[in-house]
Amino acid sequence: MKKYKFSYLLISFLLLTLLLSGCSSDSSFQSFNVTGTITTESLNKPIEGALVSVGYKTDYTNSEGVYLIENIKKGTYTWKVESQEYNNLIEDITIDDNLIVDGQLKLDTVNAVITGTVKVYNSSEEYSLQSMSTSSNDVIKSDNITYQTSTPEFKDNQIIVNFKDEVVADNINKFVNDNNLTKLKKLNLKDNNIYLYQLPNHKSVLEAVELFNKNEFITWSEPNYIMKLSAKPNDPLYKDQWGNRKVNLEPGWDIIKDGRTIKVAVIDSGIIPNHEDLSANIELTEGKDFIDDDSEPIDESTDYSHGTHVSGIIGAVSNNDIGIAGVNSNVEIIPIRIFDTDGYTQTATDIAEAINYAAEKNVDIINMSFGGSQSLTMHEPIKNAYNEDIILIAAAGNDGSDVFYPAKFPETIAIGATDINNNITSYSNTGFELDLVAPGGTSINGILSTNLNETNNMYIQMYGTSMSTPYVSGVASLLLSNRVSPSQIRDRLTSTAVDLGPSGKDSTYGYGLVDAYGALLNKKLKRPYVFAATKENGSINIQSEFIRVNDDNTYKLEEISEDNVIIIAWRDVDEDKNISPGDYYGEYNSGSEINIIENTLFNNIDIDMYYIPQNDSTNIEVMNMTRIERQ
Amino acid sequence: MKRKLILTLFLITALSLSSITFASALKVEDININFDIEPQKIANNSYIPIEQFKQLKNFSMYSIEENMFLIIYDSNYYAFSLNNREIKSSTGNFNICCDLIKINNHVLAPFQLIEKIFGKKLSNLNGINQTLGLKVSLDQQIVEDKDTLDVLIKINNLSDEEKTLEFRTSQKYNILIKDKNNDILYNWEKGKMFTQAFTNSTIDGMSSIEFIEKIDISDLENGNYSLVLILKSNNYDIENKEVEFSINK
Repeated sequence: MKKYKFSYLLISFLLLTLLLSGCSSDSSFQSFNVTGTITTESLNKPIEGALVSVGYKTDYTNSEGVYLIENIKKGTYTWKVESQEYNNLIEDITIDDNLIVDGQLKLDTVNAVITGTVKVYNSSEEYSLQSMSTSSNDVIKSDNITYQTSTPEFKDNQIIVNFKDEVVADNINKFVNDNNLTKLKKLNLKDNNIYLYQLPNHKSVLEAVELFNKNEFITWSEPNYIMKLSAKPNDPLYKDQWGNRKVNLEPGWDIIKDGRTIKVAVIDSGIIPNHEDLSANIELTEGKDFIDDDSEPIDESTDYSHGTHVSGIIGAVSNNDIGIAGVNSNVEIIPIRIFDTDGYTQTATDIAEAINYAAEKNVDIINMSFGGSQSLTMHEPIKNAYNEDIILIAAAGNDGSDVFYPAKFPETIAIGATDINNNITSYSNTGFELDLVAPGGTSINGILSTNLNETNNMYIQMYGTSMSTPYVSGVASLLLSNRVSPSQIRDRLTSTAVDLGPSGKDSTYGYGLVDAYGALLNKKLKRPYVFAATKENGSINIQSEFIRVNDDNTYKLEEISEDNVIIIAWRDVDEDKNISPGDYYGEYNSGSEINIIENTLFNNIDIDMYYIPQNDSTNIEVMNMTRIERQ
Repeated sequence: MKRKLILTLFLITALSLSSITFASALKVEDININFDIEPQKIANNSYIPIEQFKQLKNFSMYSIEENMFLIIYDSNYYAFSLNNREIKSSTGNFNICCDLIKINNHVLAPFQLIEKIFGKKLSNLNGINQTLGLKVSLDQQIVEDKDTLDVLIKINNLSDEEKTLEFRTSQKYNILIKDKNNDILYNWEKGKMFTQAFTNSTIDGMSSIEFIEKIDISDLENGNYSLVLILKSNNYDIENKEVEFSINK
């Protein structure tokens, strides 16, 4: 019996111990904390002042959207978030430990839809006109922008001297010797006496200009100014150069640093050497005529000059108040003539010799706006030039069939032609070998460039892959000017091109439309965002979902709050989450408000979007854009 | 009567001058029927060689007896005799404006009959190419002592108005030389390069433009060949021109 008593005691003790130990681990006697972050669903933007409740306990979110509710016993509770302009969020939560409960609130949207198209202008021309300033709240501060070239810069140790007509060669030689000048070139201007000289290292350019202008032999002298463009150039026919805008030149010019002069060989029909808008960038003495077998590659056509047209697209002098703007004013074009006036070569030998000649002249780029059937004779010098880091760019061809040679050779960059709407032209050759497209134009909208010197015939429109090819040569020269190494040029051009047609590389558009701005930034520009917003106290308050436009630049906003809103298009080029120079920005109808109410549909809310130039002061932060895309 | 005589004479001339092609056509069942006549002069009494329609699937023509013919088309028959205006047909007998005639073994029917047979399926291609003619001439038909052949290419504008031919590149034509087996022995464009901008050639009214090419034929053996000229116009569909020559060195 005693033995049983002991057993009962032992069992009781064990049960009590077990019970006590169980009680001591029971969390119902403990309290826990619930914390989390409340953000917007569309933007993941923190919501400040949202009321969060867990049971009867509440807290308001701070500026970072964070709340903390302490000392909650184990159990199941209703977790609720309330905030003005947003739909409430309610969930059941079970608490048996400290808990993190984040929430994302949807805007209290109404049943409304806004559709439209974003038209992207690769130009800053109209930016100042809308400049985000028409709204009464004028929240984005922007200077009233005017466009000027940047402060004049000039090349160190170089001076241009225009001698009086009557000054003879002996006088010029004496002047050069007395001033220790080195002749760099005589400018190819008709009946001119203008020379470019290198000054001795110790001599100041401005002092030399002042001194030389007092000299009896000299009409005038001036520094060799660098024509750096910061926005729209002043060339009177620039407005008709739609191709320049399609390849995004203005933003490209806006960011380009002064760089070296690029030598571009144009193997073609020769050149009109004294063209008013081209002669300064033509290095005629370096050229070669394989038709007449002499050193003067002058186009003898009386109708039109293919070579002059192609050369003008690449390097017509920009910002000189004359004619058109070439893609790169900082080039030396070396004309090499292989086409007679009939426009075809008899043999591939001329071309092979021309390519060899260009390579011997240490050119950086060879432009070949021609095509035909395969030729092994031509391939060898192309391979040699390629191995010498010369960029070879050639026309894909115009007969709507396979890519022609030499474009088809793997060493060359093959260029197709697009029209004014960025669609492939009916004539542009296609195929796996096609690398890029560029504006080639049509009979209705051709490409304007330099031509013969007859009255009223200085500039003409032509169309074909002959015209798209020099656009790419020009952009390649901008990259080289900007110190991109030759081995990177092809990749830069293709990786930053605007993808057209089927996604990725395809046989119709290659990698897409060449983009000078993207190539210089080494960045593929993304599609713009579109959203509805209100402006208040220097900020943009987003009042809708935040979407990217579709491939065809259309958009459809469906989650919009009930308010008076403006519709904004924005391309955050530098991805700094700020609306800032270098980006693109536009508002529907210059900031006109749209009154969003239930059951409304707004069609054709089209937005013009412009480049924000580097000299603009716009800088507006768009907060916490961590998850904003709805593809 | 005078008009008919003139037209008939024109046809005799056109059919006998095989080196001249006026690129004219009638369209039946989506097939272009080319023939040698100046289309702007087509009227009911214009004569068309019936045999040109042989390529149509539903078209058959039989010679029943001398000067009597039967046409079967689209499950209908049309029987007629030369120098007669009466047509007996499953669609009902009828008379036409003019007699059927035979010249150089070509049976010619007035346009009125052609239109009656083919009805709505026939459309007159009085289009852009009706006033341009292509002519190709060789400096010699029998080459005996030369290694080259001079080819004269002439595009005639037969209208009073200026015509502009558009070309996709600087290439305006191609020239092929074929042997009797139709194998291509020479291709002019091969090995040549052309500038890749569209070009134009404008021809004044009642005028022409010419191109001359000298072709190296030193590799060709003695024999008979045909030279084919293909005009590369982008806006005028002008039929290729073929001329024969032989080498007998």
